[in-house]
Amino acid sequence: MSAMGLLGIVMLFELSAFALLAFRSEGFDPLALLFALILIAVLFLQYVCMLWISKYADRFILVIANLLAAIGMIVQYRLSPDTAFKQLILYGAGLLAMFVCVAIMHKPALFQKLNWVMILGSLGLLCVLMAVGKEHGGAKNWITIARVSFQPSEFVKLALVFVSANYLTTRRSWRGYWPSAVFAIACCGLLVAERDLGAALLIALTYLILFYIATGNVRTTLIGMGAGCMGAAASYVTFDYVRARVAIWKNPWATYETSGYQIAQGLMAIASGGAWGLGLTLGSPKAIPAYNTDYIFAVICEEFGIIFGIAVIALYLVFIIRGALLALNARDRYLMLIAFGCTSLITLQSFIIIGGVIKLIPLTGITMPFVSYGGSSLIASMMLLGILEGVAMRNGEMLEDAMDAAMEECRKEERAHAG
Amino acid sequence: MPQAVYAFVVSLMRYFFIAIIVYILVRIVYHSLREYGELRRVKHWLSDGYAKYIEFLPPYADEEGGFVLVRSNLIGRSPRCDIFIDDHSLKRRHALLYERKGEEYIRPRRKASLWINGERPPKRTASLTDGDLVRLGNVTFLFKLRRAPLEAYDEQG
Repeated sequence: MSAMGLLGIVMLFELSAFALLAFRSEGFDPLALLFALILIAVLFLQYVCMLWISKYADRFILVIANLLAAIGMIVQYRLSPDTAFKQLILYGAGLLAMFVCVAIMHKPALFQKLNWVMILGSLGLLCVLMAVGKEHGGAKNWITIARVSFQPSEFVKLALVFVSANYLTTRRSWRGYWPSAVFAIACCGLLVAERDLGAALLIALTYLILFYIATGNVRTTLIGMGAGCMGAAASYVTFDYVRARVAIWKNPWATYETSGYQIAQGLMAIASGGAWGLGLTLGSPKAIPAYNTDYIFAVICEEFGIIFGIAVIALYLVFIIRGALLALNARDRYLMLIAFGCTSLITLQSFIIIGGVIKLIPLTGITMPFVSYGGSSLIASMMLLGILEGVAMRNGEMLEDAMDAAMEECRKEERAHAG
Repeated sequence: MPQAVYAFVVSLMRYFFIAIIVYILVRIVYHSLREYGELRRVKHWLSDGYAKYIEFLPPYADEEGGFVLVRSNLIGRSPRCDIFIDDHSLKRRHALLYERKGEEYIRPRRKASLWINGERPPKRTASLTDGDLVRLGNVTFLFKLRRAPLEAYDEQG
């Protein structure tokens, strides 16, 4: 019941933001209100559907994910209504993918059977990407099939979670684990070769986290981290673009005219927003390159203010903590690893991009989960959400079974006493 | 709308947006903490072999015979209640069974009937102990708070 009120507040937020956008130009823009109404209807319907599937669905991560997606779409609409409508369609597709994932998580063994398909499919996709990939913003990470372009790395990271969870559950020693390690390293290598450093970093760290959680083996994990650092150092020495990225990060103002322009503009946008922001539609976010994908956080900070930006980070944090608790409550090792893998993907991805935008770590192009414009990213994030919801439902059912069993024990004891 | 008025409205609205997102955040954190506490308590109980449940007496005794309780449970004739009994003597939302600070309570809705062990409680909110016979309308059930002798739930599953 309590989450229903929360849902109402989220709807109020969406409606007021779009109402503000509707009066942006001289006339009145009814499309903005239509957009808001669609968004509200979709939010309500999916909430009801999710609770209809199981009353144990995690309502709060659903609301958080939808709020983040709504913030993304508000900013998209402010930047250009056309891309916002495209994003809305992709969001619908993402919801479909989410419900499919929820359904599949009722039979997680299915993924264990598809293990080799996922490995070969991911590696194949990345190899094809090497050959025919389109370059976009310095990284070669787009495939276009029949005018639909997508980013394979978004789906490869999901496959990695399932494949490693499977190997780390069914095998007991390093002799059994190695295929997952080889898979992770191969993915990383291919992604680095395609200059998609963000995705490579994401996959390497996710695999290490999963490995540590599954085995608790500190030594091997440290060796893995060391190998990762060596790899990073090696790529710093061998590849020019890695060196360039680090140099820009150290001092974006030195190359303000050319390569440092993006980071410098992003920082200036955040600074000009200040604590309270300039107000929706009053900033000038189009000065930042990649304003609607990687740099959307800077746009949010400029127009809504740094306090709002911190609240967005806090929403991610709550999402992550709830995801980790879901994983800890799972009574099945495989489900626990999958839930942890999905949570760490969201964690690392949001950390890498927000850290990059605020110049905490070198910038690597990666999308902000749920918020950024981009079909592959949004659909993959919604799939992660669906998987977490599926695990939550399983947890609830398990707990209910345990409570019923406890009751049965009590009743048996009582009958024995009476008779 | 004139440009100046619009700019003024926008600059006012940014405080509203910040307030709304901070409110959402605080509320989610608050509910998460409550839910987490509830989960831990239930798990603790289960690991000790405790069970809190109600047992309906005829005519509403079904095969399972009982209903496991959580922190708060709404009983009534509406299908949206946690414990849903289709009996015309009940109100749509008849009573709330809940726990506070380790004590168990039942609180009927205004003008909803309640008897505990055959007596009407002096106050609207009445406390419950193990074995109490509770009657709401024509529906009677036993309140049980028991410790199972066996390990009903172990951590590793």
